[in-house]
Amino acid sequence: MTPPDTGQTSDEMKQGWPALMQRAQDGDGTAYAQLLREITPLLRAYLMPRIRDDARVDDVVQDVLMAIHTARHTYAPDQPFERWMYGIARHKMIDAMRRYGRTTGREVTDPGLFETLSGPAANNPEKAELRTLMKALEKLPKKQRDIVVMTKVEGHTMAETAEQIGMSEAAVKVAAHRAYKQLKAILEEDGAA
Amino acid sequence: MSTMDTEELIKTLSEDAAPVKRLPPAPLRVVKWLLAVAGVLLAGLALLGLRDDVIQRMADPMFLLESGLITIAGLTAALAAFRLGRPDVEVGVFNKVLIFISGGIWVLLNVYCFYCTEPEAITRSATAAHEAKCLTEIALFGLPAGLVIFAMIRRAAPVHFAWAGLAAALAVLSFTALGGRYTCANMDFSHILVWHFFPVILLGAAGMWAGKKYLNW
Repeated sequence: MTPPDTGQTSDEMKQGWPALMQRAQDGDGTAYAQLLREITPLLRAYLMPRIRDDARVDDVVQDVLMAIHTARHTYAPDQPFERWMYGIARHKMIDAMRRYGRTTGREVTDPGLFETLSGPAANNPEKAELRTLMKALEKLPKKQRDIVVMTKVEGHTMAETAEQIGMSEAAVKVAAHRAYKQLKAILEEDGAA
Repeated sequence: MSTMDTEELIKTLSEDAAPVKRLPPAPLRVVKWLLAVAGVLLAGLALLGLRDDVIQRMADPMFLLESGLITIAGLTAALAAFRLGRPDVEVGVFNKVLIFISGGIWVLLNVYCFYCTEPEAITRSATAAHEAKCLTEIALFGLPAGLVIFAMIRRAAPVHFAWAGLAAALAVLSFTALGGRYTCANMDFSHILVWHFFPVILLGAAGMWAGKKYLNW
């Protein structure tokens, strides 16, 4: 089910999530339901390229929602909500992949995809653009792909990404810029082909 | 399962949205755990009794240095363990540095003991059944402290199980070893190496396995 169209943009919606989560922690069931509905399409878009089985994606989405429920006391209001959410989603995704006996050699994500699919009006996993974006991201070198995933999808800052990957912040910024340019070039080339 | 089931799940979860007590910051959780460890150590010391020469040992600079280093090893490992006890924390450089400080201190202590003794003495200690009672002390001090730290970390929904388990094990074993230094009067380097210090390295590594097995929530 897609969340109700409140007229908010994707970014406006995301900015409201920390406050909704705090209200949920305080016991506000209405805020909690709104939050869960708004994040569900994003979770589905995040998991789909990894699970690669539409029938199982909903199972894992529900696992993630339940895990969020179990761990909701661990969200710190001064920390980014999306990073917390994706931390849980990645954990449940790995569990699911072990369960299904399937491992992916490398993570495949698409930041533009999530931006597109997180809006309430756009959540159609069958779109051809999804596959195009996935293929484009796969063509990036691993380090560039990791940087794009960590900064655009998982919400890490450049400094945090630099620390995790073991590069200087300046180097990460340069690599990210190159990655976006290359992604654009790949998409244009694929579009022209 | 379908999106309709997901909507039903959301409805169920939102109806179950009782207020929760937010997880305290890592340093505060470390303090809480240390209070529990202090209780365990005091109980253990009361049960086993302090070593007869504790007064002399407290005036020995090397003994105090050793105790200080072991305490630092325990504190750094505990802080790393509790920092890793959250789903939105990456292992990162800082946590790795904390763990490596703890592990490094233990490697240093083991190497120091190794060079202060002879291989034959190490073999003798390893085969001396009466010296193995120190392992009982490790279990006495370590088990309750280990159960508490693992329970606290698991509740915080960690995602890096092996690292958190390693850090937790190093923290527990450090304070266990600290307690053991105040109950066991055997000053032979071979005994200390075989029955006090080397088990920390071995069991600390086993903490990675324990983390993967018991911290997954």
